[in-house]
Order: sequence, then C-alpha cells, then structure tokens
Amino acid sequence: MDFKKTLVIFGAIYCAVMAGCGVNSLSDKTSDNIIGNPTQSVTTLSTPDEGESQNLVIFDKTVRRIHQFDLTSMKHVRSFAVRNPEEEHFVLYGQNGNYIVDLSFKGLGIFDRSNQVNHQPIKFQGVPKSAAFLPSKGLLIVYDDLMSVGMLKLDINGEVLGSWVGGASIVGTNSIAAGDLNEEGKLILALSDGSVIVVDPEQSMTKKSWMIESVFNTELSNIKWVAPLPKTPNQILIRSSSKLSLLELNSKTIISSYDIFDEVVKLSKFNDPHIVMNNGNEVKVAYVEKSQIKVKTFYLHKMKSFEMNYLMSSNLDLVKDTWSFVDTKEVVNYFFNDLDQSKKDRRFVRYRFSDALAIHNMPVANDTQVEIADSFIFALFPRELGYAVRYEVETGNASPLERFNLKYIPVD
Amino acid sequence: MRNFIFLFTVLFFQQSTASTFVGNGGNAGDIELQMTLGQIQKSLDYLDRDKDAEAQNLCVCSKSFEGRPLCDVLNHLNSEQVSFCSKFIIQKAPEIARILTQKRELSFSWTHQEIEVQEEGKLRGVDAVTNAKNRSITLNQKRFLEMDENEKIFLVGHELFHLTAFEGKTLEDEGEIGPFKGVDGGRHFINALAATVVLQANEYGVFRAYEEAERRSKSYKKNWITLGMGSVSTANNPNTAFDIEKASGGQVGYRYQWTQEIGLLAHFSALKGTKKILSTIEAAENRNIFGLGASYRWFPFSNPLTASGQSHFIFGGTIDLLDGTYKFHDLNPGTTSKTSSVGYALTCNYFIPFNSGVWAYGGMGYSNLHYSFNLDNQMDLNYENNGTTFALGVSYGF
Repeated sequence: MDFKKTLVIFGAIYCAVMAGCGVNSLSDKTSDNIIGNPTQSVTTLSTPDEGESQNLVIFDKTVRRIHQFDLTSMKHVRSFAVRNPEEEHFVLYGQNGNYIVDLSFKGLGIFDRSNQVNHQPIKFQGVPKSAAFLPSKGLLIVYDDLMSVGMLKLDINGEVLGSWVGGASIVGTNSIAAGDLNEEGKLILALSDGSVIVVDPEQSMTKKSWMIESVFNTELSNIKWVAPLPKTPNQILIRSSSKLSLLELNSKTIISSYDIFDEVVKLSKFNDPHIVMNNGNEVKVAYVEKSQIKVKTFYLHKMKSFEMNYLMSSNLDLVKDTWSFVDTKEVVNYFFNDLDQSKKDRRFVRYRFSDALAIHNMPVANDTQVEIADSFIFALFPRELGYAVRYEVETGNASPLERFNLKYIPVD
Repeated sequence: MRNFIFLFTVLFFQQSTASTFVGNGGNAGDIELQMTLGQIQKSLDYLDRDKDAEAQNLCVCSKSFEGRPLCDVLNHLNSEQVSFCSKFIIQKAPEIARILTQKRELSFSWTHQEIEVQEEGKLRGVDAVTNAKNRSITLNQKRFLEMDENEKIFLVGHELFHLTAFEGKTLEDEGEIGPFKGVDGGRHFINALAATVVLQANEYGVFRAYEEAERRSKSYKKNWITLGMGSVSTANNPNTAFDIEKASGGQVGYRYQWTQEIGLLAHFSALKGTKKILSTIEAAENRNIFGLGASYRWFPFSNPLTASGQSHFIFGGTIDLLDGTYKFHDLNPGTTSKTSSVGYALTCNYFIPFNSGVWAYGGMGYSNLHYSFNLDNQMDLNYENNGTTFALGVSYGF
C-alpha cells in the first residue's frame, strides 16, 4: 500500500470519526421530538404572547411545593402542595387568569385563581416531556414520551373548556418530529418526512380528531426543532439535520436558510428564537431579522475576558437589543434552556447585541433554582423555611424574600 | 419543796415562743433531744444489764474525764455518797429507761425564753425545768442546741431524775437526800447521778450509735435553698411542627418553712428546649419561669433518727409567671418571638437528707402554663397542653 492510499484510508477514517463526533452526533442530542419546550425549559416569567410577568411561579425542589411570588410588591402570594411531590414538577403560569399548570412525570394539574385544583384533566399513558403554552388563548399542548399529544382549552380562570388526546401519526405513515403553537393559536407540526402541517387545536378538541388546515412538504430532512416567531406568527424557524431554515407558512416556502457547520450548543425560544453554535474559536448566534436568518459571531479569546463556558440558557431580545446567557464551569450537555442543570459556578452575561458590547456580568448564586427576567434574576435558595432573592441586573441590588414556607412546614 | 415559776417575759406569747416536742424532727432540737434520750436510755439499759458485775465503778470520775468540770461533781463525793449514788442509780435505771420507752408518760416542750426558777425566794436562771406532777420537761431550745452531747445528757439526765423519788419523795434540788447534806444536797445528788449517766454513756460508747443521725441533715431548718435541674414536657401539638415538647434547664428556689407543715415557696427556672424540624430548621425556646406560692410538708416515716424518718415530701402550689423567647432559623438567619403568660404549677418533691444540711430532692409536677408565640407575623404557635414537670437537685437547709 503506497502512501497515498494510506493517506486516503486514514482520511476516510478521520472524516468518519469527525462526522460521528461532530455536528451529526450533536444533532442527535437534539432529536428529542418536542412540542413547544421541554418541561425542564418552561418558564413562568415569560411567554411568547403575554411577555414578561411580575408573577413568578416555581416548584420549590427543597420543600416540594409550588410557590407564587409577586415580584412587584416582593411578596409570597400562595403555595400549593402537589400530587406526587417526590417527582419532578414543572409549572406554567397564565398571567390573565392567574392560574397555574403543574406538569410532572405523572401527569398534570391546574390550580385556578381560587386555589382549587383540577387533577388530570387529560390522562397520559406516558411521561409528559414537553409543552407548548399560549395563555392568551388558553391553549396548552402537552406531548408525552409515548408520542401522545394532549390538548387543553382553558378559560381565563383555568377551567377546562375542551380537551383531547391525539396520537402522533397524523398524515399517512409519518409521525410528529417537532412542533409548537404560534401566536395565532395554530399548532405547527413538523413530521418525520419533512412535511409541515398546520392544525387547529380548538377544532381538534371539538371534533376529537386532528383538524388539519394545511399540509405541505418543506424538502427538509430530519426536522428536530420548530420555533414560530412571536411577532410574525406565519414564520417558523426550523432546525433540521444540518440546516436552519425560515419557513413562511402563507407561501409554504423556505424563505431563508443557513447551513450549520458548527456545533450547536443551544436551541432557544427565550424571547426571539435562536440557536447558538460554538466551533471552539467562535460563538455564533443565528436568529431571524427582517425575514432573514442572520448569524452574529462572537470570537472566543481563550484565557481572556470572553470565555463562554458550558451554556445553560440563552435569551435573545431583538427589541431590547440584548443577548443574555447563563453559563457554568460544570460540564452540561443539554440543548435546551435549563438554568438548574448545574447549580455551581454559574454566570449571567448580557451583551448589547448590535455591537457586542458586554453590559452585565454577574455571578448566579450557587445551589439556587433560577429564573431570569429582563431586569432581574430570581434565585430560590434551598432553604426549608424559604429564602429567595431578586437580584437587579442593572444595579446588583438584592431584595430577599424570607421564611415564606413557615406556614407550610408539615406537622410532625 | 421545790416551787418553780416560769417567768416568761411576755406570757401572751407563750404559744408563739414555745413549741412542743413532736418526735418527728419538725422542731429545732427535736432530733438532738431524741438522740440524747436514746443515749440516756441505752446507757441506763447497759447499766441495768451490768448491775451485778463486780467492776462497776459508778459515781466516780473516769480517767477520760479527769480534769473536766464533770468530774468536779464526782470528785467531791465521799465514799458514803458514792455508795448511795451507785445504789440509787442502779435501782432507778430501769425505771427511767421505762419512762423513756413509754412516751405517753413524759412530755417535752421547747421554749425560746429564759427560764428562771424560784428557790429560797430568789430567782435563778436554768436551762431546763421539770414538772414532776405533770411529768413534763421544758428546755431552753437555744441553750440546748449550743451544748455538746455530754452536756445534753447531763442536762436531760438531771431533769429525768427529778421524776424519781427517794423514800416516797420526788427528788428536788433543794434539801437533803441521804448522805447528801445541806440546802443544795438534792442538787449535788442529782448532778452526781446525771454525771454518772454521762460517764456511762461514754463508757458504753452509745454516742457512736447516733453519729450518723448527728451528721445527717435535719429537717427542722427554717430556710431552704434549692438548686437543681428541671424539665417540662408537653404533649405534641398535632397542628404544628414548631412546638417544642420538652424543655430543661436549671432552677433555683427558696422555701421558708413557716410551721412544721406549711412553707412559703419561690422559685426561678430557666429552661431551654430545642428541636430540629425537617433537616435544617433549628428551633429553640427559652422559658424563664418565676413562681410564688405555698407548700405543705409531710413526713411519710416516723423515726427522725433515720434517713427515711428525716425524708419528707413537699407539696407545692405556685403561681407562675412565664417570660418566653422562641427563635428559629435554617441555613439563613431566622427570627425571634417573645411572649409572657401566667399560670400555675402543682409540684411534689421528695427530699432525702445528706449530711451537714445538704439534701437531695427529686419530684414531678403539673404545669398549666398556656401561651402563644407569633412567628414572623405568619402563624401562632400555641402551647395549649398542660405540662408535666420533673425536678432533680440539691437543697441546703439552714
């Protein structure tokens, strides 16, 4: 075997290894087949339709209860015991109705404004793994690990007006790959063959079957992630195997696309949908602006001031011209936002996005459950009596909330 | 003929200044008198037992008492007086011993006033007087307690011989008796008899039998200080995890034993209870309790010369004032709440004598202190259950 042949063989092996360890393998990590956001990523401080809330609802992992805080008056509003408190719980909050959706691995419950709870309005055979929530229209879509799609229509008080659970195979032999609700209340679903369907969930609940408004093929393969744009609900950002595409629903065409060569480290719908990529030398943020996918590059200067650690959460707000993220020195491997995956050595960094000027850099308290809003970071400490702090991003001022669990300590 | 008059300073106060020997050790000197009577009785018993022995040297001074005042009485006796004294004491020993065993035949009483007797138209101060007709002996309590054991036997022995008779006539200090001539012949004779009892008591070693009783703490003390550990337990409040069911700490107290049975009580307890709630919450409660009330004393056993006879129960009832502080925190600083309350407590403590005025006590009781802490303006922690109290400590009576 001559040198050239040897080189070709080793080159082929190298390419195979790179393909296995590089983009494609990372892509596999995104193949979670979610609708909306994974349960770990749901946040009550901000929804696409209602925006940022001053009412924060959080499942306290220390005392295994749900708390609601009013962060305007800095008061603890109410607290709920949950079913199966030993399980992980994730909460959704509708500002208008002041109701709380409690998602756990064993189902869901809805606490209305008068603290009444409706357990299991829909029943799953599997474990809820993701949810799309549009409180302004009272729509909640829950997707479980057995590919069942649960739909709920809630009134302003959290009362269930309609519900239905459908299977994942909607058209032909294909099943759901990814999906989300857009601001108009339509459920946009990408199927395993690359086609996209638009479903009317309210009609589906009424008719107890999938009510499809349109179906079309995108020519995309292996769709992993679908993100309707909040301000232009007919535009959908789609992440497929090696491409980021902007789909226009009205024209049913891809109007912009970007080939992904770098390692995708975050898929985020926090405010403006975007993905974050990291090739070791650069961090790239791909987003949509004026119906075009754009990519902003931040150079990494190892051992210098800008050194992105393991990214936990990414928040892009084009209106406010900010890109904020939380990273950690601990190794985390999760493509969706999850501020609690690591609770050590976390850091909140905010850039003015237009000119990449770093404007805030502050540590996040260790061991805390964290929620991040535009102007503050809320940290819930693991304290049985209850202790939480609101840190102002601008000033760093800390406002504590103390002993809110006092009334709820179980009797002995 | 002996005529004596008790000239107490104020006759009105006779009741308050005199007390009757009740035999259970409730009065100062009761135990000492019991011991003295016991020592005399034993001495006379031994003397009666050995009355036929040849080596009896009665009414003469022994070597161990040479040079001491007691022997002055005996050294002045001639052989006739010694012989008379010896025969008399041997003859009367069983009679006096019998009187001492028959408690109903003889009564003792204490006085705190000076005792004076009229002899030959003059007043003379004495430490004790005997009314042979009533078969009663009155002792100056203060003087008696100041005496050593020999002096006590001499004094009481002297008075006991006033209860005996020679040739049908009760022995008196004035006048002649047998070979004891002169106006003070009777006194010299009785003193010789009493001195002989003292010598016999030493000869037979009867003091040893009462050494323990002598050292043992005595219950007639008026002032009592207590120092100990106390605790209070309340039933669990099923409505909260924050109630602290048990608190313990130190307590000090004072009791003034007004009468044999009735006393006045004051106590202060500083109790602390702690509790761990869930895994990191720590709560602590301080209860400072001041109580004021009365007590009743009861002796369950009769013989005051024994430890059990000195031991006694104190049943107390106090009005209690509580000053309480409740603190709790987890890994973050916590908060403090204060409260106060009034209640009552009923206690029963058993006192066991040690030596030199020191006692041990232990007991339990019932407290109905009910109170509430407001925790962080969020909830009330109510103590609505009555508590059981326990106490253990030492006391000093003086």
